[in-house]
Amino acid sequence: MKRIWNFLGDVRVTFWLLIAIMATMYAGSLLASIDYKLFDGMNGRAVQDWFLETGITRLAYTAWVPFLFALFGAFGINTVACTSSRFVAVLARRRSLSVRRLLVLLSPSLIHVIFLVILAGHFATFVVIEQVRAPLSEKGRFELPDKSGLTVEKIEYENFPDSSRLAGRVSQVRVALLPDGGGGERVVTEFTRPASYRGYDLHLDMMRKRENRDAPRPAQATPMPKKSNIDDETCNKEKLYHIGHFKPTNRPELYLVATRDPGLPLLAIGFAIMLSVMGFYFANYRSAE
Amino acid sequence: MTIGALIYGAVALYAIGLVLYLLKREQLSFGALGIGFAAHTAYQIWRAWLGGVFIPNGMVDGVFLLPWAIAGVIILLRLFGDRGTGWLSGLVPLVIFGVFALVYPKGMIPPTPNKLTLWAPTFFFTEAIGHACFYLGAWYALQSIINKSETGAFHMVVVWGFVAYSLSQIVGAIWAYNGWATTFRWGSRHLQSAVIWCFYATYLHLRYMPGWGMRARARYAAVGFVVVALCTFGSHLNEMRFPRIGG
Repeated sequence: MKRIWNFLGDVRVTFWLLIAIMATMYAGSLLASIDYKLFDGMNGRAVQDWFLETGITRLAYTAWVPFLFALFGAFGINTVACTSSRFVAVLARRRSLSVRRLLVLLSPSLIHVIFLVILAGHFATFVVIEQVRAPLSEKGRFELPDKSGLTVEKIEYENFPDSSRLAGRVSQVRVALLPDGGGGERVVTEFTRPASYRGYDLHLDMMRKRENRDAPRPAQATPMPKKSNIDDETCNKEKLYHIGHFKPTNRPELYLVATRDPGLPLLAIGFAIMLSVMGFYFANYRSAE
Repeated sequence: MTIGALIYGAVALYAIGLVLYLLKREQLSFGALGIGFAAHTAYQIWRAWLGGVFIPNGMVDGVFLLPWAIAGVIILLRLFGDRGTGWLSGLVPLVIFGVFALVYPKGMIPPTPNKLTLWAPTFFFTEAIGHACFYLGAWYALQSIINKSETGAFHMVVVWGFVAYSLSQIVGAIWAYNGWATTFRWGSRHLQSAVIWCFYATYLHLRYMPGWGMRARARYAAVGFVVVALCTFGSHLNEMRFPRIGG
């Protein structure tokens, strides 16, 4: 049993797992740049749902995704085994060490524990995330997954100053939403400043005009380009997502995104503690030697 | 002549610094590097007004910020690092990346509203520091292999790069959530960032592996130059075709 445990926590296993993870992610990044739209469908969805619905039909492109999850699973086990062995080894020496030295020696192990928390947070995000996206229009209604609704009261666009080279381009959008029944408090959301409502974070996003032909669209929306224009090979590129809707003459089409991400608290706690422990370690590791 | 021309002056001074270093005039070389860095800093600040209005994103365009960060790290190493390590040899990668910045489109990609947050420049700044340390760490590792040096001076540079890069990944996740409602996006940019992080996480574990002495670790760190370039220059080259303003 001990031999198995030692093997699982062996740093050589860590090395080869990380190499395999790197190779898999790099291959995946190349495939994602070839077919951006395919992999963009994974964002904001439970990865298993995406895989069973879409990924499985394109295995030549997507087989790396479950393989990557398997590698990360093995990496998690390796990190648990390695870290716990080191914890035990350091704690066994605690009587011969000053408190400061002990904390410095434990810091790398603690960083690994926090890394596991962050890994768990990402995993929770990937498999449990709940996200809905729908277009916004004045007086339109947005329904959350729990069937409660919000009505758009007002949309305010803020542009860059007319005197600037960015004149006519949108710099910010403020959307006021009223809960169903009109009794609740008004919810205001802006770009990069999501609002919280009934456990959901409400983000704004912009219409990816050319790519999302099949997405639901408000009645007054501009017609989509003809199929021949949107399916040519130059259209399925990240840059069109990036700039396609930012022509000064073309006001972005707004979307509201409601997200409930159970991985987020784990990530937030993990990031905060990780920074603190790393700061403590680097401030003290020389003086504690 | 505009302030935008300062980038040409800065890169010229870096090149002069390199020539002086090769001629073994280290003090003069360091002086040229310092003046070049000052000119480059002024240029980076000026870039915030490329849109005719102050937008910090202009200051942190990776192609222009990377040589600035490399120059800054070399200066810090020369001032506070071990003496006699040959930190100024880092002028070689600095000049290479500086020349690339000269031929690169100078304007700014018009920012979308989800990029107009302080998280964005903070991310790009910490990422550039990380990349700068990784490139320099790789360069000094290569030097140590060629010179058969056992000092391992490159190690500290790589470790600080890993700290800065880890910070950038945290900041980047916060920005991605605020801007796009997910902390990680399944796209080439995020995946390749993760590849770089994993590569250097692996590096940090090498010292605990049997058979990985200083020279073997130096070889691994030197390979990092290729890994970082492969994972970053694709998007830089792709973005050359994007419409830009100013510059």
